[in-house]
Amino acid sequence: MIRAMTSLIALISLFIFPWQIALVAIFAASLMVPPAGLALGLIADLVYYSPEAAFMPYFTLFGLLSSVLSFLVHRFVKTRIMEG
Amino acid sequence: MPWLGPVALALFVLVFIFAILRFVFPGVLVSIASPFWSAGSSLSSGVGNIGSFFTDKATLTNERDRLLADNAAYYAKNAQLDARVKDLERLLGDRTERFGGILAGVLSRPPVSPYDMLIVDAGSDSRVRVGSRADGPGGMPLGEVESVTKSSARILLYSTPGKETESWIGEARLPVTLVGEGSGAMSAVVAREAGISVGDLVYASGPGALPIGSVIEVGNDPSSPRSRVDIRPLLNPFSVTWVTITP
Repeated sequence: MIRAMTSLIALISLFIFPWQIALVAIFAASLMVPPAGLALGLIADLVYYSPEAAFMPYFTLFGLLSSVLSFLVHRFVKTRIMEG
Repeated sequence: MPWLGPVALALFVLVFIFAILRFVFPGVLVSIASPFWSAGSSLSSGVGNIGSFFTDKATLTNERDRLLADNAAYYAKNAQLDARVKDLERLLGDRTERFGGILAGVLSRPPVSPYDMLIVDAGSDSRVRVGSRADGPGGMPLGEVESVTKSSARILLYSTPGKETESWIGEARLPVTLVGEGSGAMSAVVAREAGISVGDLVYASGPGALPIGSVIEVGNDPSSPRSRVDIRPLLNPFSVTWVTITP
């Protein structure tokens, strides 16, 4: 449930909050659900990107990086009980 | 992660829907997003009001004094312009041409819109065309229409990163190429001997020489024959709510 909520909040933040906050929300969502970073980055650029406005779609790149990073974290970092 | 497959599929179905909306039904995308953009604008203005509560009292007093001084100066200037208008009306008559601009409400603006772009609620149905100039309050040029749907348009601000705009600078109307720097800022490169100084106005080239910004810093590198000039817009694009578009 919390995973879906994080992704939903990140999606809404694209339309409500300054883009810097939206980037943080996308990163948080991708930590919870790795593909969400790329998906939300693509959605942001589908809404706002224009080839004349920027050299490349920065949100998509950021989302891709977030997703890759998040996949690596999920792949290599496992939760366990620390023993003293 | 057994949930990953279905979740990824759902997310990319969502992306596919947005892609269809953007490329096939761009007007629908704006219609869906409009309530959220409106909520964001209301939220931003609310947060701004909360911030003013915490503003330093001394700063407010200084600001009030400055505004009073500005008001006195504008009063004098207005009286002077009023007299001039009356003189001109005596000479030329008082017939004025009908204004042909299109009034459009701003749906999304920086910083919500990340690429220094305005999305407005007037499109081809209102005779908005690609390349039309968009002006802010007071007829101050802001940017140009980049794309149009039936009921909305995207306006690239002069400050869009990398966007080049021909303009004039200073009282001598020196021609320069403005380069957008993002977040409302612009820059230009001029010869060191051009005599550009802080406070000089920058004008959109074309009829009327309409001011779009003012010089806030002039680079002073003695080893270079050119100076970089930093320019601030006269109108804050973060707070513009209406624009007029000249078809």
